[in-house]
Amino acid sequence: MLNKENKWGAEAVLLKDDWLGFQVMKKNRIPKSYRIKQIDDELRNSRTISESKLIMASRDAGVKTPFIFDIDLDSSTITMEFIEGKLVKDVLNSEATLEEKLQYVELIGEQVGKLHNSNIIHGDLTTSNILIKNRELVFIDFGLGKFSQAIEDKAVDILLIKKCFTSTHTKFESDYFTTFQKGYMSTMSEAKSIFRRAIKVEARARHLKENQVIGDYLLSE
Amino acid sequence: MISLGIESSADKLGVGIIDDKGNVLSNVRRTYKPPYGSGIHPREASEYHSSTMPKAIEDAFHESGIKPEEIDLISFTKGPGFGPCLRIGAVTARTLSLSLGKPLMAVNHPIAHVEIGRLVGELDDPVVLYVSGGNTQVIAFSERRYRVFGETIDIPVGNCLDVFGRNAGLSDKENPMGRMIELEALKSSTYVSIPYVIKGMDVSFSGILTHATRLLDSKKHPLEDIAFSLQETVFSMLVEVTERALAHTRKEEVLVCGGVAANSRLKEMLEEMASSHDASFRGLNADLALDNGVMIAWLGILMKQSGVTTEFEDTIVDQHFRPEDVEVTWR
Repeated sequence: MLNKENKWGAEAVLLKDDWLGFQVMKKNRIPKSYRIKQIDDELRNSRTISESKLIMASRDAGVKTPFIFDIDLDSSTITMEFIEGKLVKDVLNSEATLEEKLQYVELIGEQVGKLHNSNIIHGDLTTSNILIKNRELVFIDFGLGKFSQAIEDKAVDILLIKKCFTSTHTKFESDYFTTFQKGYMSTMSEAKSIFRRAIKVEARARHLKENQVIGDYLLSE
Repeated sequence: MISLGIESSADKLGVGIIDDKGNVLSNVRRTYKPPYGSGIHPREASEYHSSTMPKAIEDAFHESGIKPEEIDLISFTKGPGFGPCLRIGAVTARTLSLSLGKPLMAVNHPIAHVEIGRLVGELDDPVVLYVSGGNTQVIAFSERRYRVFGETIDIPVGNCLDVFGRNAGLSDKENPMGRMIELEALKSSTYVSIPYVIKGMDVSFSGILTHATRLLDSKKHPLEDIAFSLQETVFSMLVEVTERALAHTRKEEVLVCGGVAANSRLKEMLEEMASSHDASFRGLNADLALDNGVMIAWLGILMKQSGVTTEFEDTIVDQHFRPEDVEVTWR
């Protein structure tokens, strides 16, 4: 029998469990008492469905995600493969060499490029939502994701990871973001038009002029 | 040390005086009221500030019983805010500084909200939801800076509510618009579906405003139902982002400030969320939750005591001044 491990995220309770002999993680979107029932039910239900679809579609796009065993809409619970890995966040903040860290960051860019090629928007792209297992990346937590062809949605994903580098990996933020973009460009053919839109969204959201953020992006030919 | 603070970033003109023990000696506030049916025009608000300023300063000294020469520091809002309005405060601060021979301190407006909340709410290290007509940010302290964990990527939540209220023909003559919408919402518990827009840690309100306005125009639902649904939706989004920041940072306190913080439904939801994470929740009374001069004066003292100085040349206002641009030297 496994040690049952409870972890409270903001949105769901994660429970490590045993399912027909497999080690699984049960992600249960618990009701939020601060929201009215109509909003809460709709959010929990739609996020459970769309997260499951996105996890499976990502696998088809060549990006590793946990295998899904069961989906229970009545309790808003997804039962998925337990990934025994490290958080990218912890690896980037560890004593590993910068070279090794940059390899992972470039890989993140490549994988996100693949997701975007398949019109998969992660919606919460941070280094806390990517795991490393056997030197491979595994993407988790698609709860805020969606399918979309819109350049704007892809640009917002790029901004999320940029913001994450700024807030959580301050020391090497610009190295990381540059390397991420290199990886992204290698798999995503429309990368530059996404970057150009990201500049617009970032300038708008932060009340800056576009030329104040343009330097962070790889746009030269 | 006694500090005088001048706040003039938007429609409110504040002059406050506070000492280094945190005793509020005076808190004078005057509010520019735009003509019925329109929002704040920056130039007109700044004209209001410049004509109201002399009397407001006089009143602040009178209320506190402090003589101008007893002041040790002149603090003012450097930004963010409306340029014309900010400049009135900056010019006043420079003038006082030169005529009294006292040092100046240029401060960041959102950080001032956080610091007065920490002082008055007796909080150590809160996650702060700052919601007003001009700002919507979730702020928390991390690695020597106040970082914005989530924010609006288009219009502020107070702006969304204000414009919706005007589109619905509500008047803000007797109450602020947010209060008028709250009163409408209290009449209903019928939820009409409205988009729920969260992108990572960020929120977006412009599409919601359009949707809510279309619901009004369709005349299919009574105003109170739409007001109720709009409030429930935008507040749920704000509380969710605050919750995510709380879970991410593992802090144990939640503070709400800004004009929208006056809404009792928002406070109720935040309190409920905080208690489910065993965190404590604080709101502030309107005199210090809304824009005010005291918070500017108080942040000035904190900065001064930690060795920060503002050179006369650096007193130019910055409409886009971000909290993370300031290195926190006082905690």
